[in-house]
Amino acid sequence: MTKDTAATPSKQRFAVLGLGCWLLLAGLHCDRTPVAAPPAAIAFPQLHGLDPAVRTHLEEVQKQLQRATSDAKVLGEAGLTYLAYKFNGAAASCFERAAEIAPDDRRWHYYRGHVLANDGATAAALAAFRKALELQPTDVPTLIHLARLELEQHDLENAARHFQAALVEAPETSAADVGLGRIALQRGDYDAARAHLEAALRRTPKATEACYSLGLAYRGLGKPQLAAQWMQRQGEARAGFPDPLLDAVEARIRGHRLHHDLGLRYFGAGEFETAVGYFRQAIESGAEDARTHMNLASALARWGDQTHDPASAAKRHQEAETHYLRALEIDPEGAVANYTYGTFLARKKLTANAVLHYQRALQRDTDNPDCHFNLANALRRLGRFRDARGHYEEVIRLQPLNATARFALALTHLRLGDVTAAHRLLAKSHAALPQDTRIATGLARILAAAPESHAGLRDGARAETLARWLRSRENSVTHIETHAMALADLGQFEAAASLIRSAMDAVEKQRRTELLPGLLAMLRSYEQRSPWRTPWRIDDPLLSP
Amino acid sequence: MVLSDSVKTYYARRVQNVNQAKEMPLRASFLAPAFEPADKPLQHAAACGRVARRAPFHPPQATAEKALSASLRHVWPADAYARTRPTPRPNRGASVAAQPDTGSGEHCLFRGLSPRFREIARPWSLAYGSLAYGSLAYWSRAYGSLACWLAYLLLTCGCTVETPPPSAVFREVASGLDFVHVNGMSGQRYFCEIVGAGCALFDYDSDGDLDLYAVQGAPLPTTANAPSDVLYKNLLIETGELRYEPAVGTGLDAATGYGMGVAVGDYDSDGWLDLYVTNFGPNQLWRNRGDGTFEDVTATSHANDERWSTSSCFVDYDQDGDLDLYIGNYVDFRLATHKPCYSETSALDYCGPLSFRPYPDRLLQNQGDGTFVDVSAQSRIAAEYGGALGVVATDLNGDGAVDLYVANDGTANQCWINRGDGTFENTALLAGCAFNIDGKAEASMGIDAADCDGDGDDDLFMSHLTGETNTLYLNDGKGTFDDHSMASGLGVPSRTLTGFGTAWFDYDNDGTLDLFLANGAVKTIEALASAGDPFPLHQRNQLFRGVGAARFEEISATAEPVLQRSEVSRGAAFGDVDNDGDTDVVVCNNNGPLRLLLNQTGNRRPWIGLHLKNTAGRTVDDARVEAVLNTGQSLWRRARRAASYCSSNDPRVLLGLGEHSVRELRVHWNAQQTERFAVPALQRWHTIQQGRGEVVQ
Repeated sequence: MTKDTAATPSKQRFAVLGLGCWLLLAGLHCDRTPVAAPPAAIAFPQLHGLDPAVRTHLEEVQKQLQRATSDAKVLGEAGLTYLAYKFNGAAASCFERAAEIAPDDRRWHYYRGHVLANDGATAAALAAFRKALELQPTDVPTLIHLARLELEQHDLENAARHFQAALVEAPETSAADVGLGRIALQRGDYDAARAHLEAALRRTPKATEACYSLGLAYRGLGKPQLAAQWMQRQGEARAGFPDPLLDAVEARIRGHRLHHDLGLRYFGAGEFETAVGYFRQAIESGAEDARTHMNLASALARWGDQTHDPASAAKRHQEAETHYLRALEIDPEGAVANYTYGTFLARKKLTANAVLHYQRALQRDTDNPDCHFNLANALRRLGRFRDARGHYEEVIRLQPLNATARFALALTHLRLGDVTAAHRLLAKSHAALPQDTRIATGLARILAAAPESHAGLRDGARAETLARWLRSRENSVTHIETHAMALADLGQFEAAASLIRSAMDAVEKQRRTELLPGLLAMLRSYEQRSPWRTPWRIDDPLLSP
Repeated sequence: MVLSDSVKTYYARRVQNVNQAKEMPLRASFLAPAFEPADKPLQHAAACGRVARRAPFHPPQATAEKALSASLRHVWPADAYARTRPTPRPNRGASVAAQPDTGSGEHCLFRGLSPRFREIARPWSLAYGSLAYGSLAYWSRAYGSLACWLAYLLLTCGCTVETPPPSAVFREVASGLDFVHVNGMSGQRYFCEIVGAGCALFDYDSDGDLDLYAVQGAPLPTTANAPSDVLYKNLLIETGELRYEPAVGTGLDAATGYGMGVAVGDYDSDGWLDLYVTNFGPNQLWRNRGDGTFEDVTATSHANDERWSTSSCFVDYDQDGDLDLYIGNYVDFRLATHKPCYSETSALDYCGPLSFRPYPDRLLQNQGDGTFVDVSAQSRIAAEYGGALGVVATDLNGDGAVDLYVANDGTANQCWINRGDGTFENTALLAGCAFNIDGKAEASMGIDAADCDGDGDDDLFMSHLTGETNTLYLNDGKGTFDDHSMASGLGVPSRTLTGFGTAWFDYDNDGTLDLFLANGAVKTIEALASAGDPFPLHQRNQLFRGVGAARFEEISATAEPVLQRSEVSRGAAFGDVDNDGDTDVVVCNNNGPLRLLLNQTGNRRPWIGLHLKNTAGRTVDDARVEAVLNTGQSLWRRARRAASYCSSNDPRVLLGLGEHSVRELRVHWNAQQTERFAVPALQRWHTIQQGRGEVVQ
């Protein structure tokens, strides 16, 4: 077609025909080959409201990006920083461009896979992981992440293939066995599931994520008791595997807010040493707030508790105390700081001081059942039973079926001589919590051995039934004593004495000689055909802690 | 072929526009007009942003969106303002990839073509148009520009229509529901701002149509003139037209707590439906006097709970004929102990539930004299708990006694099996429904129970947080469950969304249960925040179609334009509001307007509607209907109000029959009584009364 200002009819027809053909061809062409979108510009995230250290970090990254827009390393590094702060959009753009520039560097495909998976773009994430795997077919982290994504997609065949490949490459990788166990579960192959999951737990006993699945496998195999046992051990500790590329991401994080959050995460996972490190970094980054000091103190205290070397433990506890005091200096009325410091003091047997801090915590957080409970325990230790009673009642108001608080309150009633109140509470509690052995013990003892002033509460037969049930659950010295009390109340003194003798033998074998005087007193009473009339002796640590 | 420079430039610009349009769907109005309610005559009603009953705001000329924003601005300071609106224009970059294609306009050239072809062709139509324009511009030198412009318009824009696709099932209508929820956000990121609220579809005046109760939030801290919940009366029976108007003089203007949810039930057995409203603060029991008014009987009935409650339900757990009350309590958050939480980007964000202590739930036993007694301890309900957000009551182990399943936020769920002696036992762990298949506690929000696999027992579905997947537990009939989320196709599509209100319902009456999910995040969505969105939590809702064998397919937003909206949805109530034989949906948005999604096409398939009543003529909330089909298979449906999230549903049973016919109809009233009824006529609602059928042994 050439420029022609004098159009003739034949030329018009030609033009119309040509246009028609061109449109048709263009339409057919576009249907088959969609034009690739131009590379997306990196969307710099909104920095307003971020931790100043994070903002500075991201500004540095943005400057670098503006200087070197076609350097794969700069782009990839920037992507890592964005990934560390969960700016997934920016991270994905960086990795995408880095991968375009350096397509043979598997790192960018691998990281891109993670970012896309985080964003729920599963198909694209799978493609990115597959590309990374193509470049390094034996990389275990890539195999496992790919397989996990495939499992989520219910693509069991490919997931199994990749988990198997990971297991071949690194036979010690329990994550692959967990994956294979879950695939077998989905397929209803419970035997295979059990085998894989048990193998995983043998290698990594801490991997509680496998326990629940193993329980499901046993349930499928028709073994409910084993199933229950494993399901109850359910946890979220993952069967990890070395993943240096991902580990490098966390190391980039700056700023006190995120260090504090990382500290909390590791604290929750029971990794107190790492938690201490992050809380320290948070304080070094400028977090001069009560919460961070308090959390550092708690992490130090827990780390100290785990430490076997007494000198190191004492050092950590001492440092913990310093940070608790700093937290209270910043916020003297802080409920959480006072509560946790109170607990720290109570553990160190500084009960009177602990009481003060618990009381201060409750001024600001009146409905904290844990604080009421700890305060009540501390008050009991100080002999302030009447004050303790009120706080136990508060716990029960807030947590109606807190069995420990109910039992402790019953003991407090007994200690104050209010056997009727103790009986009423235990009877009610036993109706609501029939499986709780402490409450059943308390009730059985009052029914068997209520003092003469409350003889009307006694019911030896019921006490004996309860005691038998208790012994069927656990044939402990306490339960044998309770059973003997019930038998004595029913006039079966020989049987009661015989039980106590057996308990004494057991105690001697266990070298728990501190229990012998009490048992001996009981034995003498039964040998004299005299029933026991004290549910607990006044000097029993349960009654008088 | 050689194009002139000006034509090339124009072409390049148009192609760029097309690319931009793909990135910024709602900005490019020629591609996708912002969705407006199709019910034009009702648009004015939608403009009335109902923040407070006592002070409605009625801008005469405003559009719905403008009115909404104006009304919110009227009440809240600018920094607190966050209106619900279409997806904002995101930054250029990878983050835009997550935005759905919102094109509801359809080019006439592509009508009748397959959706796949249309999907590919739609953006290209503009490019073709531009190219055509280039050619035509060449001709225009000879024939003048006007004809060429006309031709261009014809090829590109002239045929664009702005109606939903003809296959769309739901259409949003205003119908007078001008309610706008306010969450009281002030920039402090108080945890309670992002949690509520729900609504209830129920017939408060017993006139035969579904009225609506919308639960309202409040300023934080609450003030004396807080807005109240709103009861809307349905005028369908009176006027023959679906239209809601606020019921006046009901006494409910005193329901001014920071509302969360609502349960419906006739607790005093007087034939009138009462309301239990849960709040972030003291709850309220509203007794329906039967004369169009309600009285607050919270104190006299001993039904109060000062703690933060969410979903609740009326249930006759002791089978004594009156309705008891289960109250799901959430966590110990108080404004006074508010603490800052940060997102993984280090920006201030909302806290999660695990930052606070959970509260135990409560079970109140109805004494039959208008009062309740707290039996949480005796029944053992209070023994185990997490932060409860959802609750359903149904028989999960097939023993005839109604059980309870509680969905907790971030902790193990509870499956309370009714032992028939006034106590419950939590079997969730061993039953396999406390955690997901990987043994992880999930952030369960909304929940529903129904027989989704057609084996006669109720299966459980619950919605979860972004990063988790929604979970489907299939019941083996004995109360033991298998996590079927991945195989069902319901898991993966939910990973990027946070689900709240949900329910099983057969939207297309094909005899297979489908699912709707009201979604909205609880943590800042970074892409939205970066785009400057003032309330960056909004997400699209989802509709899943059951395809049989407990498998589901997501319905795309292209097919269902109502799913293109991105809002912070929470509660959702389900029922046939226009009595036309299909299930409609009311979506409650946090800090946004209520949406009524009217089902347009469900009733094209055969259906039978059943309103179950007991011997006293009162609506039955918990019976099961078994329709034996001509194939010999049974279709099981359950009358239930409590499900979803903080909401209450139409308890009537709608049997969608698809290609089948019903051979026999049985109603399982309770464990003791099953009756057989004559198969009623199709395409109609029928009342089925207990005691009038043939007793089945």
